[in-house]
Amino acid sequence: MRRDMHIMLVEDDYVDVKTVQRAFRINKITNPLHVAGDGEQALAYLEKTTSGVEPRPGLILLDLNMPVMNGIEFLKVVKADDRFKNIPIIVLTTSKEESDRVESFNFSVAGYIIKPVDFENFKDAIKIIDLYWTLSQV
Amino acid sequence: MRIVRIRNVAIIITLAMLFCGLAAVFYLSEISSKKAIREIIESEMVDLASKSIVLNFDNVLIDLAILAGQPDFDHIFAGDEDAYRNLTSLFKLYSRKKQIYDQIRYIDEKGDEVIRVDLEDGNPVVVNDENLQSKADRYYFTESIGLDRGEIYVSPFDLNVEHNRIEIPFKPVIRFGIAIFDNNGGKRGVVMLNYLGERILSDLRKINRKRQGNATLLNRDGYWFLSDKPENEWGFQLKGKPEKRFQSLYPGIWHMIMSEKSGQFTTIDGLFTFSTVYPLNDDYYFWKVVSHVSHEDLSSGGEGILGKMVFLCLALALILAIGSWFIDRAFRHTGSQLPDPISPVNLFIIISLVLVTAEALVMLIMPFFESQPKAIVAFLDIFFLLVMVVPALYFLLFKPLSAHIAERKLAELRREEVIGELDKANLELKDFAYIVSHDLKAPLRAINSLAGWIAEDNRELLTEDGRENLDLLMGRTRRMNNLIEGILQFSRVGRDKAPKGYVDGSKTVKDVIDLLHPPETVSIRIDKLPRKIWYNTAQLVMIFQNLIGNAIVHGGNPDLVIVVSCEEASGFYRFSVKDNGPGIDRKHHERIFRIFQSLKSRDEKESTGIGLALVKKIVDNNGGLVSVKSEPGAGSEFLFTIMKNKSKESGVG
Repeated sequence: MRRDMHIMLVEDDYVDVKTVQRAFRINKITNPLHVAGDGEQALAYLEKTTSGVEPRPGLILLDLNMPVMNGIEFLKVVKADDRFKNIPIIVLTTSKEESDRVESFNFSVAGYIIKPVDFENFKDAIKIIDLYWTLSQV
Repeated sequence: MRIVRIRNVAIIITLAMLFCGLAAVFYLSEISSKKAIREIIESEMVDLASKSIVLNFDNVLIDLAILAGQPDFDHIFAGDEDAYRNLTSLFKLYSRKKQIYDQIRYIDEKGDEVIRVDLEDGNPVVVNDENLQSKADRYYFTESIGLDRGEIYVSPFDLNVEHNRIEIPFKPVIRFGIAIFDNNGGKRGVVMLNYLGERILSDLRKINRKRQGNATLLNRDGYWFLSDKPENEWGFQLKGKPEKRFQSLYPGIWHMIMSEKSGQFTTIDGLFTFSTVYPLNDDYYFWKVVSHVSHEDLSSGGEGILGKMVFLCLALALILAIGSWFIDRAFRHTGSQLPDPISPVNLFIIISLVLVTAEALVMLIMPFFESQPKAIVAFLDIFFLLVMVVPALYFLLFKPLSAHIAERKLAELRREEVIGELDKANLELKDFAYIVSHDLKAPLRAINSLAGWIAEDNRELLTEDGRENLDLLMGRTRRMNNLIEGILQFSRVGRDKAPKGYVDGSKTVKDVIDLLHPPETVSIRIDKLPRKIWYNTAQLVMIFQNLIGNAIVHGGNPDLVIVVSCEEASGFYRFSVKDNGPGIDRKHHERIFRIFQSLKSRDEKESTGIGLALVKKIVDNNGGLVSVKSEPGAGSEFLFTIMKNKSKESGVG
């Protein structure tokens, strides 16, 4: 993964945010990480990127269970917007619901990862994401 | 259901009443036509009786005229002995041939009997000269000798008296007298005929017998010559008490009989038919022929019809009862609604019932009130309709019906309410289980992560005990996570639609074993399994995963052998997962299938206690059965069935 690529994390749980940050640090992923607390905040951030106020993210890590605007609703808006629909989105969630997964892939998400309980596993999951993006971006 | 039954009973009663009403109408019309026939017969009979009496009298009068007109009388007056003998022979001839004259006599103008022929036991006997008597003082002689030419004397009809005593056996007699004149017009005596009135009476009896009638003969004073009760006869001579006269029994009717020459009428006492007999064409000498048929006799012969009707009604009621019972059962069986009770058909039945019942009642009362003003009948008609029929119908039909309707509507509302509540509760429960499990996982993961980071970041600062505690903390969060996963899985079975397809049994089991990574010491044998099982793949995997996984985890045997097999039965497959592990005590066989029931301590054996409950739920939801065969030390065998026929699937996975 190119280290100058901005990554946006849409996550309401602070510990989960810390988990992702820690996993990034341990995996030596130094990409700038922007955190949005819910779908609306994420959309607001994306709007700002169009005027160049904020840098455009090259990847969005999206939680599904969130207040105000949840992940599926966020996907619905983003994938219908020609400006943002080509930003790759990886769903990072606790939900094992079949319906969630099916719906996410219907919005052509780039990946669907269930958050492992153990941090060790979580770390590995992030490492794989980094690895994959490094390969695919080449 | 009880209300429905009451309604059915009401309908049966209604229909039974309808049939009874129709039967009553038929019965009454039968009776009334019988009555009409009886009326004709009675009129005809009374007429015939009158005519027979007149005929008898005519015969006597002809005889009298012939006897009195004999030219021999002139010779007798001249002292001709031959003429005397001739006349005596003629009297004898008449006596023998006619058999109706007790005495045939010639009495001279002084009142002395000249010729007298008595009828004794059917034979004429000429009374000797020495036994001839003077009848000068007898009323019949004085009456007869006073007659002019062409006149006839007829005595009242009474019982013969001999020596001031009524002759026994009774001898009813009518004396006919005619005066004899000589050529010069001088009165020379009388011819007397003692007519045996029994002839008239026996003729009437014959007529009665032929027509099963009851014509009686009475004189103008209401005394019977002939009655259906012999003890009532001759009341004017026998003077019994109470006085045996018609008017003392039916004064009103006697009045009507006396005021008309003939007629017929029905009263509360029955049918009366009467006629007046004038045997002599004389307005003062008359008798009455009266027949009386009581209501019981009028309706007699109706018992047969009545019996048939009652039988028919009972049979119909029984058929109805059985029929409606079957209909009721059929309706209950199919769960269909009975037709709306206040339907046009029902109203029609009810209205016709009202009409028929009213008609039957009116017809029942009519005969008793025929002679009364019609207003009373009309009043009674309305009275019965309003006071009896309408309330009866109301209580029998409308009240239970309306109560039933109200109750049914209420029950429907209540049912809908309960179903609604239940649906809501089920939905809430499912959502609750899902949300709770789901939302529990996030903080749990956070705790786990944080504990891990503390241990990692502060490795040098922590004591040995502190590190161990943090490890325990993370272990417990892992266990709790497993529990939550289990609950989620468990609640998902039955909540989500599980699409079915044909699943290969052997392949599924092999995949499961790969997934479980059993230790090298465990040997697993897979017998021949069906290649096409109609099931949801994930669920079949879960079943085998739990059963085989349990066998491995709880095996505790260094030479653990697990056998997966299947036997085919009609309509279903029975799968078996058998091990030679420690076995389960019989008392636990039921408990192990309940959720969160583990037989070992969690610390001893890491298990959630959800696996078998999940297996049971999946198998149950697919219309199968799960069971266990196990004894401590004899291994365990878990069995479950899968329906072969895909059309019999329960739909919800």
